[in-house]
Amino acid sequence: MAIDLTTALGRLLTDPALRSEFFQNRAATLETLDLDPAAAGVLQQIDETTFERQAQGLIDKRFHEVMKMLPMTLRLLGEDASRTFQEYAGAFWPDGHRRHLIDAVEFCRYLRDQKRGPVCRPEQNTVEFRLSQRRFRIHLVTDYYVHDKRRLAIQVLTRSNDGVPGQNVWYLRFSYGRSIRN
Amino acid sequence: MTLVGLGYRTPLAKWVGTAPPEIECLELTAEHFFDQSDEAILAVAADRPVFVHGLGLSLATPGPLDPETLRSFQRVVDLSNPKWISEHLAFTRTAEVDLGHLTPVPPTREMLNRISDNAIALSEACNRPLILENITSHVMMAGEMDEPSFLNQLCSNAGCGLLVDVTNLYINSKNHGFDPLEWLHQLNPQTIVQLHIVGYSYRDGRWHDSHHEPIQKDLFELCQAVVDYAPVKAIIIERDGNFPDPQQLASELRKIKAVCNGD
Repeated sequence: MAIDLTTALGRLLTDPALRSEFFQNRAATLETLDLDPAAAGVLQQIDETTFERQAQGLIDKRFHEVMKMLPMTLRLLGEDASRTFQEYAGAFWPDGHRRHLIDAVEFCRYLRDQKRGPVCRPEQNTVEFRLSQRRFRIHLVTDYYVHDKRRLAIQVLTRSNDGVPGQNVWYLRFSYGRSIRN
Repeated sequence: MTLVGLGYRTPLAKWVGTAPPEIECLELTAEHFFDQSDEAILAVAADRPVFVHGLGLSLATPGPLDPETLRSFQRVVDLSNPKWISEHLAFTRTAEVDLGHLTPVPPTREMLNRISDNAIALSEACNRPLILENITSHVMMAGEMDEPSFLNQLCSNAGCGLLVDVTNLYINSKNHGFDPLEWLHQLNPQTIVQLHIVGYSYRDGRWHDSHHEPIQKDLFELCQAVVDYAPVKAIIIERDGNFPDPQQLASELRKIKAVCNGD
């Protein structure tokens, strides 16, 4: 079935294999995409280097947003953080105005299911709470980090009448386990 | 008179709440308020003129606007009573995927008709004037006309205006090698209603709209050129992160005001 130009661009921007195939043989890929001649003409003229940059920009933007919500989780992944996120992000595209929260939750799930690295539980609790409609949640967590030291803590998540989420944490003064080092 | 103000962001809420005289107007990003209560929207929109800015209506996607996103956008508009609304000249979703990021469109007649139809639908649904914003992009797509001609034609067809993002214009001119003043002077000045401005960043040999930097001197100069050329009604600083001390933002707002006053 024929597709429009934005759909074709979406496929090319989100599918590295299709993109590679397209830049190796544009005519053949355009034939399989079944575009109208005007749209095909636009794609014929696209510059490979800048298009790759555009595609990478989509992933970088998502990584940047997830990093704001899961900073410790990404620090725990160390040098693998960016590469691990790229592997995850290519296979899942979140939808809607809460897409960054969905992305963060799904990335935590990916890390856990694929055993790719530890997830900082208080961060996961926070994003899951923000995504929910709940007014109140309480968690006992064993990996709350203060000054890069792991502590046992009680995490209380709340939501105001205006819908604004908030958090209070009470933690034990002594730390345990390994400290994070940069 | 040109109003000068800020894009409202939660980390700035406390300062905005103190009603500093430098903030003459606010721009509310609609998506940031989709999950907020009516009272919260009414509170932010009180006391100053506001404008509502969209990110995800994806005007360049074929077919009608996404009904759920439109309903949520309309709710923010109805509650905040903006002077006008704005969206981007881009698509963020396709029939198959939500890209989550502003993606450029080729300046073709088909795209012109599609965006015009969606722009008219959005403006009518919200019962407000609509202005459309130029975006930055790594890739440039060839079409049947140049970008300023496309924008002029779009404004004429859809009866809308322009939100010229000065930073986006500057960045595109650097990354794609064109003269921003020549680009500007091809636009119909009467269509330019509002400006966005925020500092750019530079890395890996390219300019980026990180929205995290103070406004640089060359951006103030380009802003001055736009203000000299067109009857701009409002200028918004669009800072999204790395928020400075409120006094620094106040200083930027005063500098922009001075640009508007020709000081």
